[in-house]
Amino acid sequence: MEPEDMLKLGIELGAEEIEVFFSSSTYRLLRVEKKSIYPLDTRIKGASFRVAKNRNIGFSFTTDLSKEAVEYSIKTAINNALSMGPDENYAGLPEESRISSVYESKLAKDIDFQELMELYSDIRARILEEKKVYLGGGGGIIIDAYYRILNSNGVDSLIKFQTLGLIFLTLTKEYPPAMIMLPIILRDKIDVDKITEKVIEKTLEFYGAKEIHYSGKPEIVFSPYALALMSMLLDQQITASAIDAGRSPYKLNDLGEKVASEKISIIDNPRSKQSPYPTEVDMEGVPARKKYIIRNGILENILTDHYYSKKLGLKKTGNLVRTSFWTFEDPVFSSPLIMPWFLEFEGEEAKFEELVSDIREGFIILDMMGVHQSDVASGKFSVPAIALYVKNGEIKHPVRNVMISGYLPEVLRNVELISKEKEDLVTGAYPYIKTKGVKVSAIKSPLLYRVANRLISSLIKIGIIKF
Amino acid sequence: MYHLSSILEKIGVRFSFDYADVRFERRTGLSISIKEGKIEKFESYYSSGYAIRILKDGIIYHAFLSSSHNLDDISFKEFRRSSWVEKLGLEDIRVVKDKVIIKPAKPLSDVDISEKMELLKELDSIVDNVGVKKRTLTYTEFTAHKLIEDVNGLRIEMEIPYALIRLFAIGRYEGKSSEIRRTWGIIGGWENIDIDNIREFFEESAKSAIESAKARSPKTGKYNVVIDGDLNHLLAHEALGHASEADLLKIRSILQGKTGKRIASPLIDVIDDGRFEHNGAKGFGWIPYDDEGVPSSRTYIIREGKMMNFLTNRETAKLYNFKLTGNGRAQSWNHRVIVRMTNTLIIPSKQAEPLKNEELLEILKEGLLLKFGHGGQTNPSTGIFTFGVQEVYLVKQGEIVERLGRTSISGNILVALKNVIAVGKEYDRPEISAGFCGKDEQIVPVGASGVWLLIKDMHVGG
Repeated sequence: MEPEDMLKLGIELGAEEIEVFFSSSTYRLLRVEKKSIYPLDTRIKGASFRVAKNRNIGFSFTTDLSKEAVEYSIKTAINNALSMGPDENYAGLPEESRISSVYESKLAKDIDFQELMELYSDIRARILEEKKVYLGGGGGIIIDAYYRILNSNGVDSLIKFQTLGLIFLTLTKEYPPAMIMLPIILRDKIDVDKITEKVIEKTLEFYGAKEIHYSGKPEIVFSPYALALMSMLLDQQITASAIDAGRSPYKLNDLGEKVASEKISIIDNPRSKQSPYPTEVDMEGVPARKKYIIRNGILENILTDHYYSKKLGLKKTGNLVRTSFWTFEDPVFSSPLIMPWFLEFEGEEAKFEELVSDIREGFIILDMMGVHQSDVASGKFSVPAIALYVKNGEIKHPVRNVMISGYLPEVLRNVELISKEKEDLVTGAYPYIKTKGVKVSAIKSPLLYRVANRLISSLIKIGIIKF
Repeated sequence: MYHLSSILEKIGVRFSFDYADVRFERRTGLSISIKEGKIEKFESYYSSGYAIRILKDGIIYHAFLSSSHNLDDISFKEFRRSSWVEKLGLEDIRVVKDKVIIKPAKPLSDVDISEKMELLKELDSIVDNVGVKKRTLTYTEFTAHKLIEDVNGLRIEMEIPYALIRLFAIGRYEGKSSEIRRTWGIIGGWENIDIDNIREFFEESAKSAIESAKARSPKTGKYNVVIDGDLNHLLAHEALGHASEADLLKIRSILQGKTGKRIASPLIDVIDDGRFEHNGAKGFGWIPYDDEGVPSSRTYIIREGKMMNFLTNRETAKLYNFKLTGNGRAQSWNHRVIVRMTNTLIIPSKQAEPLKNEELLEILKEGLLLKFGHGGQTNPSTGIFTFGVQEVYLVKQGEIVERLGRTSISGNILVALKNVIAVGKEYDRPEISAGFCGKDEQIVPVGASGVWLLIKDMHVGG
């Protein structure tokens, strides 16, 4: 069945309002695990429905688009709506919008699996020349997405884009190794030298990690990668749904109030060309525009969808997304939720060297583990990390066996500087940020363990032990 | 639905292969959420499609098609393999024809929606009465129906129904807040949903949320700890399990080269058991066959402290000449089969003298009792793991003296498992460790709770 026919069918079946989210998309993934390659070709055709009945909305989706299956799915959504009873905050579905958001990528359109493999091979060969870096795998992805949003209120919008991305999984050739995962979205051109340089440079930041004893609340710089990980926590806190549920350190009446340092602004920019999924419309047909979430420390916008904008009397920000936190899926499989599209940062900017130059003793957090298990409601995190140790303005060496803990709202309140340099990391363009109030503790492993590690690392270096 | 054999035939005509299999999967499910007394979401789904796998000249190709596509949409284009690419193969398996359909006494689909909603409302009310005002409870059920066939005549059909109830609650006290997450998950029918125990479980969980908000945080440092059955499972799963998945050997596993060596306390075995059951309740990772048609089994990853086996699928069993353990799983039809755990837990070994939980606390004397994990992440190449801990208790002279706030624990697997100095004998219920494991952007159901453990020198975050 075609989406327009699904819409008509829904009305015939008794829906008061109906929305069809239709996807006909292809995802081609070349996965590489050391020397094993796996071409994966995924073709999805499906539809999800939100159906309004008796002042509530039921949801269903199906990947079987036969009339019988679609009818069953819509009927189920109607029954779901009826079972819930009326919602006193019922807002219906968005009103008329006809936005065609098309971001074509010639690179993504023209490349096939064979060429993707040859590109990966080329980069692989160059990385292998670097003796301190081990390439564990990675691969590439070509997305050809076609999402159409129709509803009975006149919404008929389209999101169409192609994306080409590469991913590299590297380890430092030492013991124990550090593992680094680096995603790279390719937009206009493929610069093999630049990509190789970036992968090696990022990996070598972790090479030669030592263990130290430390406990305190020093000056901290979060690297772009670490900030991207922290944004997994922030993403859940700045939405109307989280604030309404009390699942955020922020409150509605924080709007217009200072919630962070005046030296930082955080922007959501769905139309950024650096985003792997740029769009001018969200996944329920509401226009999606660039907006400040935090401007010079003031909470300027809370991200909403149509329902929460009406419920809480907030501006519509066009942030209804269909995605999963945990799996890579076509949007048709996911129920709608509110999320930022692509984060950008502005503020009191300085070159990276200036952020570091006056640190007497501190750390640059390179990577963390387990941010997703932090307490969203308070923003409290307590996670292992790998960091660069800084003394008297100089980066000394990487440090492992580090634990950092703190509160994300406090981290944002204490921001002193952000770097001019930004890195595109799929969910945003992230700078380094200098802040304080984070507790750092680092412990040395038992001596025997450290001596053994050093010995193994030396043997790896001279080639006696094969990494 | 297409006959899988006709798909294999059609592919064979267009694209010759050395081996092929097809997995058809149909998933139906629903999810109901109640937030502070109000039913907030009600979602249903139907997902079906085909996963086609072809082995040709040492390359494994995959195509995934939703059932709304027709067979002409299948596209396999042959690769010219670069010189560095290694040839892959699949371990031979016995050709089996079997059908395992779990037929509960009261199938979940036969239970009226109103009854499920009533249960949710009742649990919501219980949590509210404790004083937790911010809360969401979600009831989820889904049934996975799978059919696997290959060119050699293998035919496995399975149907497994799952149900979960999840609580997310925020306890508040004098401006401080703390969140708590709890899950109760079963495989089977409505009769397996132990309503009385669920009521008690969520009431205790709600009280815990408030206690956690009141409590001060534990100081960061090293402690001797007793961990509960849920954390046992997380430790086995996160700290060790991922590193024992054989596909990781392609990149690097901290367990590389350790087979036959002592890497843990001799008091423990670590098992992955696809057919684990305790007191009639199946572990949430229960599977009769994996997604390649290989029978699941109990695999000893560690036995009396020694590394014994990696978990494998057909590809890794062939590549490394390992035992085929039946751990090839995929999230759904649109994902490829990779090595995944099932029910992973630490159990007493033959060398252990398992103790009661109170006895473990007596031996502990001074330290922390840790209960209920949350999240979890590991770097299996380096051995570093971390996971959240929701309930923390200060223990002095073998007695619980104070409740502390939530925290996290982390460490290195090769150190942590050696530091197990005593093992319990009482298994916590499998239902409380029902969950999902994420790897390579796929999630699969996993379980299960084990016994309590006494571990020295655990790094606890503050």
